[in-house]
Parts: sequence; C-alpha cells; structure tokens
Amino acid sequence: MSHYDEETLALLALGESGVTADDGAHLRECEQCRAAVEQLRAVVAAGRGVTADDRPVAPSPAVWDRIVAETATAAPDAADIAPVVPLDSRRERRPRRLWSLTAAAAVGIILGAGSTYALTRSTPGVSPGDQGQVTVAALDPLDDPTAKGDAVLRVSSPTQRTVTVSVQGLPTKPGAFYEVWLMDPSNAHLVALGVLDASGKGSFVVPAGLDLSRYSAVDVSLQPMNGSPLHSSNSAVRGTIAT
Amino acid sequence: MQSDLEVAEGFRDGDEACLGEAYRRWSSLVYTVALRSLGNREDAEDVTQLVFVGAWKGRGRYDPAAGSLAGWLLGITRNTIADRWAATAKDRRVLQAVTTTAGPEPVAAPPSDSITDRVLIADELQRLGQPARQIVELAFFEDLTHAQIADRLSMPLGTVKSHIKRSLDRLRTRLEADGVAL
Repeated sequence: MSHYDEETLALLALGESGVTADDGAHLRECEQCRAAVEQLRAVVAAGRGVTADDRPVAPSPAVWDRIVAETATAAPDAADIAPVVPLDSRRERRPRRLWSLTAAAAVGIILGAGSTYALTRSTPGVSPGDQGQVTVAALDPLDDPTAKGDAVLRVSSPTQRTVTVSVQGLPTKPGAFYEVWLMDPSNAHLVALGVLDASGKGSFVVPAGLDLSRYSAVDVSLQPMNGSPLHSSNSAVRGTIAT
Repeated sequence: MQSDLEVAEGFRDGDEACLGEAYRRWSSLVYTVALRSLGNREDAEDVTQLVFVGAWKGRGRYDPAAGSLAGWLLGITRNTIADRWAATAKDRRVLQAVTTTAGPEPVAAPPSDSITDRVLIADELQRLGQPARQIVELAFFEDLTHAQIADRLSMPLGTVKSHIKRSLDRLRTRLEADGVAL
C-alpha cells in the first residue's frame, strides 16, 4: 500500500485513532512513515507540555544596559578555547551583592548619560527665597519595569536639604518594603534615607554635609524584611540628581 | 527589515547594531529559558547578560552556516545554566558539610532540554495566525480530535487537517532550527 499522506501522519502523531483505512497496518511495515510520525510526536509531546509560563517574556531593560556597559570595552576573545567566557573567575567567588552593585554601577553611568533628565526651577507662585532651589530627577525603571517616579531635591540652605520621592507602579510585595538610598556613581557607597510609604511616597532629610555632587544617584530598592541593613541589589527605580 | 541570517552575519562580523538586533529578537527566549530553569528573575537576568556578553566576545566561534544565531545563543544559555546549577550544587554540598552530619545528598534536577523546546514552541504558537493557532491549541491542550475541532469551530474537516499538518510542520522546523536537536 502507498504511504500515508502528511495530514494523516500529523493526526497519528497527535494520537488520533481511526484515521487510516487499514487501521495503521502500513505504519507497522513502513519505516519511513513511522519515522515521520515519531518526529512529529516529539513536537506534539513538547507542545503538550507547554504552559503559560513558557511564553517568552522580556528581561528588564536594565539587562541590556549592563550588556552595553560590559561589551563597550570588550575586545573579542576568539582565541579562547571555552565556548563561553561569561565571567571573570573572581566574580563567582565574590558575594553576589558586590557583583550586582558593580554591574549596577555601569548602569548608573548609562542612566546618567541618557535616560534621566534633571531640571532646576523655582516652584511656581513661590519666590525662590521661600522654597530654595528645587531640582527634579526622573526615576527610571531598573529591576521593576512597571515602576517610575521622580525625586525632588529642595535646598533651603546648605544644611536644610530634603529629598521627596514619589514612585508610581510599585507592586506591593508581602514581607518586603521599599527603601530610598543615595549612592555615589561607583555604587560602592550608599546612604540609606528611609522607607517609602504604601503609596510609594516619602520625604527625607539629606544628612548635613553629605556631598550631593558625589552621592548623586537616588535609588529605590525592594528590601526583604529580614533585618539586613544592606542594599538588596534589587533596585526598582533609579535616577540622578544633577547638582 | 534584516533577515535573521543577516543579523547573524552582522553579529559574527562585530556589527554592534546587530548585537542590539539579536538582543531585541532573542533575549526573551534566552531570558525565559533561564527563568524557567532557575526559577528566579535575578538569576535569569544574570544568565541573559552572561549569554549575550559571552556570545559577543566569542562571536569569532560562531558560524552562521552551521546553524541559527538563536540556536547558538540558546546553546550557550544551556551551558551557562548548567554552570549555575553546578555552582549551586557545590555550594549546597559545602553548606551541608559544615551544617550537617552525613546524610544523603539531595539530587538537584538538572536543567532539562525540554524547557528550551517548550519555550520555542510557546513562541512559535504565538506567531501562528488564526485559526491555525486555535486549532493547534485545541488539539494540544484540550486533546480534541480533528473531527471535534471541526465541529467546535464549524469548519470543514479538510481545513482543520491541513491546518494541523502545516502547523506541526512549522513547529518542527522551528525546533530543528533553534532548538536542542530533536
């Protein structure tokens, strides 16, 4: 008998019965048709295992920023034997926190260059003398693609400085809270300012004497409620105050 | 628009725009395979970064004639994930050694090739037009026969059959091109 047509092979791969006139007798004899069905069966088996979680989702925009930062200085290493040279070996042994912050440092540079804006203005209707100098920095999404906001720095006098942070789109996470930090561009030095309220807002005093031209990055991190005073390395949003 | 092959050739030749384009086209696959394998976003993002940086640095070893760039990236993804698993297993052994007396070592499930195939199929299903996609989904996920699908969608049997045949072919082609060899 002749080979099954391709539609029949597809139905057999799906496990349908009663789709052949000879009750599958040909399949037992014909290696070619059997191989074709087996191949499609593997596709069907993989396909039936697909769940909603298998649908491709995009990584956060911060990943691309880190790749740009890392490849900008990278010469090709075509001579290497290993298929991939993903990390320098030190990294594996360093605490992940340090590494994340180093990677984030590179991001900070990019953000500073491109994706933040800052402007200096006086609040309308209020004379500069009352309100002092006001600087607004956009807080752009980093690890949390849904969040964004701004940080407003008010300088009434050199010792009276406040940062008011407002972030929209922060998901509520049980057992976690959002903390505001000032960082220097290396991200190696951080000053914790305080915790955002449930609406994603907070106003904080900048420690007198802190050099804001150095601690210019405003970072909002998602902190697990585990008592650790350290930055979680999970930054929801970040921006730079241009002073 | 550039073809996938043009992007792949540009990538190999060190064209930075093609790195960006490759990331735009395939980072979701890499990231999702990593996310499904490792179970958390942070590790999956690290892997995605490692894969693209590693691939870019090692682009001299990529041969577009030997296979798709997506497949090559997913191969690197699997290696990177396997390294992650090995490192985690080692950490666990060390931790066990210091915190417990002897005991059976829990066996970590290795990352499975089937994750890559599932993510590729999920991706290709999303690219199928209608009614092909609905037909395949009814066959896959509701286990309907082609006759039941024809009945449900009020379509001729022959139409349903030819959609099933063409869609399965397309999924197979995609797995052959970008997947872990079937």
